[in-house]
Amino acid sequence: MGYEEVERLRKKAKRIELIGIFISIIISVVVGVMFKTPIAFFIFVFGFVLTTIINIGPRKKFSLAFKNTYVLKSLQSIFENLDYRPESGLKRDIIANTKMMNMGDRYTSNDYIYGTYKGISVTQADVHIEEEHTTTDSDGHTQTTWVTLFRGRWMVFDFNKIFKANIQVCQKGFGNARISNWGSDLKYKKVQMEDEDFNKRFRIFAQDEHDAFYILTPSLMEKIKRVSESINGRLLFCFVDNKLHIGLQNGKDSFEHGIFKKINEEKVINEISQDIKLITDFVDQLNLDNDLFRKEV
Amino acid sequence: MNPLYIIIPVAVVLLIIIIWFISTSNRLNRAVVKIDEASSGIDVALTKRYDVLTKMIDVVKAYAKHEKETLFEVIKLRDGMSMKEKNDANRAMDENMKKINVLAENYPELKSSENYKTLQQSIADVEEHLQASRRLYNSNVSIYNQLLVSFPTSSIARGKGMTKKDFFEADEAKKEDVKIDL
Repeated sequence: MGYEEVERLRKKAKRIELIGIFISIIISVVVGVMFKTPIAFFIFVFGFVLTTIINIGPRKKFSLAFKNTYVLKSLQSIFENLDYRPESGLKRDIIANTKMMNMGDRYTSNDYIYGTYKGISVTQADVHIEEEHTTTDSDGHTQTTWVTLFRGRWMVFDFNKIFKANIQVCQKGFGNARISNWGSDLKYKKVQMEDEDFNKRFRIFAQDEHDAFYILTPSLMEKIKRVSESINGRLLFCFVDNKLHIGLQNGKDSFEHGIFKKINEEKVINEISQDIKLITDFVDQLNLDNDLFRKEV
Repeated sequence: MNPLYIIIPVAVVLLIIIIWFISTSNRLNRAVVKIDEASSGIDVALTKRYDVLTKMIDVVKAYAKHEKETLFEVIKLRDGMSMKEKNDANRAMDENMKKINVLAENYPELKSSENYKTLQQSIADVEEHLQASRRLYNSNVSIYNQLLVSFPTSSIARGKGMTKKDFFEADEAKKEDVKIDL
């Protein structure tokens, strides 16, 4: 699929949206002027919602075409053995099994990417975890709201050291990370590293203090601090089963392009590259491709 | 005046002092236990390093039969070594490692042998574990030593006959991440 086809789909979705909103405004203004009733406002809201529902299909078509054209191409140039599925996500169990994240009541995920970069297997997806909150007022009316616990990207990397105990490094302000001792012989303990600045910025829990010091070398702690400074969002590092899980809480849905914005290929490719760089930066900056300690000896 | 007005505050103050004494004493005891645990971690890592190093020396000797001048340090590990003795043993192992590296430079066939490469990877991992044990031990010693000089904890420590602990020193070069040019 080329630029023209993607642009055609974008314009179609944009047209439906604009026409729907325009008709809603006209009808609500006419009703408002003729009947002088506040119902006019609700007609506008109804029209807006109806337009959004009608436009789900065209929007999805455009989004898929955009991703399969631009995102896929960019990913192919960086990852080997690539498997990119824009509509699929990371299985809930992958995150839940770390037992390091509050999994809430509703879980959605998309933009599944699997590939190898510098020999390191990388899996990532956009993830949204929500919790249901129900409140009841004095009249007995109940209201349900969904509160976001996590919105951002979840990445899983091969880790370059073999370890037995699990370790969690949670940047302060990340929120909703947790640890569970349920069903495990090894209990988590809060660990204080020798780096005071690192202790100030991160909370460290480990099932074994030695493994925490083995994994978190002074050099890795410095790198984690640097990465956390350069990234817009809060980070959670879970070292589990010889894998490194990284949760980036940034409230963003990556690899998306709005229907009202004309596609500027150069700009789009640059933006996608930035989104991909976010993944590869972890391998590069944390030196995950240094497999000296992974080799069987 | 009701004597309870005096007895109760005095009893409360005494109770607070007793609770503080017990909790501080336990805190010091826990710190010592953590140091002991970390110290045994160093023992394990040192033993592993010694084992791998011994294998390496055997491999090197097999390749460098004509090297009469290279004398390796004699290292003896035993139970209950003091931290100074552990430091000395570790330093002797550093010396042996340096000698092995020098010999390997002179014998390219040794450097390229699979056995030697495997042992080099193994020693790198063992040294990484030793560094972790060292850092954990020193971190615990640092917390403990700070408790010992902080008043009023220091008075309880003195009463229990507690004294400052030695750090496990590291070769400056070893503080960096291990990098091996294979």
